[in-house]
Amino acid sequence: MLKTAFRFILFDKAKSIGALSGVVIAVFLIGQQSGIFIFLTDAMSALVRNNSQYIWVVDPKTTNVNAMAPIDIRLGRELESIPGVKKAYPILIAGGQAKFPNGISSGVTLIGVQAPAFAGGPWNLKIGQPQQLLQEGAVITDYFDRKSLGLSNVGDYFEINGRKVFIAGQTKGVRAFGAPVYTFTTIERARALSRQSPFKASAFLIEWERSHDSTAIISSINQNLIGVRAWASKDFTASTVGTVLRSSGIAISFGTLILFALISGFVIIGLTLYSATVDRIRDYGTLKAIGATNGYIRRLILTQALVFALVGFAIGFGLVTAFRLGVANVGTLFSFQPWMVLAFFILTLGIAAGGTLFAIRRIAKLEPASVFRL
Amino acid sequence: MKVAELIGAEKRYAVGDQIITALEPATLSINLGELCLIIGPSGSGKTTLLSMLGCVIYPSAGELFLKGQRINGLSEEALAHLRLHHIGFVFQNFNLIAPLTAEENVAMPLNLQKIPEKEVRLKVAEALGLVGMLDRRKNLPGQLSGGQQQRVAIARALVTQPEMILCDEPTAALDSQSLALVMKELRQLADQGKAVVVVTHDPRLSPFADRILAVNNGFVTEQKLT
Repeated sequence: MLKTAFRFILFDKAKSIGALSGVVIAVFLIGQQSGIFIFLTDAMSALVRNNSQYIWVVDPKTTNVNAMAPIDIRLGRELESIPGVKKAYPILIAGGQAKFPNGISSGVTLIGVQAPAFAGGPWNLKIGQPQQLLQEGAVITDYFDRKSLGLSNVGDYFEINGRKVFIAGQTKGVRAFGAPVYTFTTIERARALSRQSPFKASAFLIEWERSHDSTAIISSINQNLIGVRAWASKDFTASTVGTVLRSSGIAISFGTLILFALISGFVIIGLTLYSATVDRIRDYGTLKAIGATNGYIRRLILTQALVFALVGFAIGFGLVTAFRLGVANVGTLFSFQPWMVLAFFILTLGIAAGGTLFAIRRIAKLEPASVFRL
Repeated sequence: MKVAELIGAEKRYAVGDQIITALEPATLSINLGELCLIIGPSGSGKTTLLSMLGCVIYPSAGELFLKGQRINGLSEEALAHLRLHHIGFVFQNFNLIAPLTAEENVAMPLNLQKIPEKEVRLKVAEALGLVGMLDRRKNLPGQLSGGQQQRVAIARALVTQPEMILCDEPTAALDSQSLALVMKELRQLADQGKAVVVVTHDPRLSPFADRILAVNNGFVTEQKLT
């Protein structure tokens, strides 16, 4: 069966290339769009996901880490009085305007974290240590944001809101979602640079005693403290992504693109296989006349589709991987979980198998007697 | 010995409001060891008769038996099984499967029968050897002449050792040299005990026949050999 399917595929090279192209295009477009979507959703929730060891306590109206209302710093003491809470670390997120020696200016998102724990502080550090933020004017920025930061490197000075700072360290791949570049510093310096009240924070990151259940602590905070809401980091991540997707239309935009990629792949494969089948109608008719059942011919066509799916997936996913590696150089970082790769593959099989429906329908209607007229 | 039998079998088609009679009620049998010609003008019902004998269509009325088994009402699957195991087909335009080589074409009915690969290779070589095409076994149909393709088609028809071989105008696309070769091979098959049925309107085939059935306007009559 497989050998015969290969013979049919290789016999009509032009049509086979057409069908294969359909699979490759569909896989590439779906993979590419999904990859960018993953990058964006990762960026939306990066701050929470990379501080998943904490319970997040924010203003009750806050559902998105990228848009947090200020809360009173004194709540920290109250939080630490809740049984099971080991430590409440304040974090301040504020905007600022940076100006560089080469004349370029750019917006930055200041993330102020408390020494010496630096909870919520820079992750994926490639150069430097969080402790270097204790130096006067120190900030840590991301390698991929160099262009936005006037091509500044570690050790370079620039101004934020008119005050002199310098780059003390560098992260790699810590990107903000649709917001000015992440600039980590101490909470005191972030307040000073952004001229925020010393009594305000954006959130508290709660470290809890491992002997206590985090769910119980979250419930306890939500029941006993007024003016704050505690979130498990997983829930806050989901809420952030959900809020941004609902308010931005990103999901519809990417969903539509993926749907069209699916439809285009399905149509290309469907039409090409149908056309190839019509071209070979005499062969299929002959097979039926000499005793092949509809089931055999169905399997023969499906096997061809399966070959297109396997080869097309390998090429298409190879191209997606090349795309992923290419855009990683400019800081668009994403990766696919094994289940996603499996889902892409199953989707590809589905597209290819679905594409055979027209051809199989045509052959099912073909009477073996027609071979005498062909 | 009868291999196929029609008892009052007829074929009618509905075309819109009209009923077209392709074959009037016919009673006849096809016997092992004979080469039977079916002759008649175009549109007379020859191919309908052949299709019925080949179990590719059912009679609208009357009965059709193959090896004593009543065919009327059998499922498509069951008919395909009967064709695969008991009937070999040779078509006017050879109908070799274009993407497959000569040996793969001949092997196809055996593969459909799920015969082990080793046995298939032996049977295919034997069948191709019988029609003198063993040296062209790796060629695609497009690389063979009409006569060569028809010989491969005959090899495909006989490779499963069917009791009956049905040929639809097997010499129509051949020159006289190839015609003689092909008919000689069919004659040999009949002499070896197969039932060979040949639809034709070529009078040059008469000398090879044991029996001639004439079809005119759907009516089947037995014609005397000259």
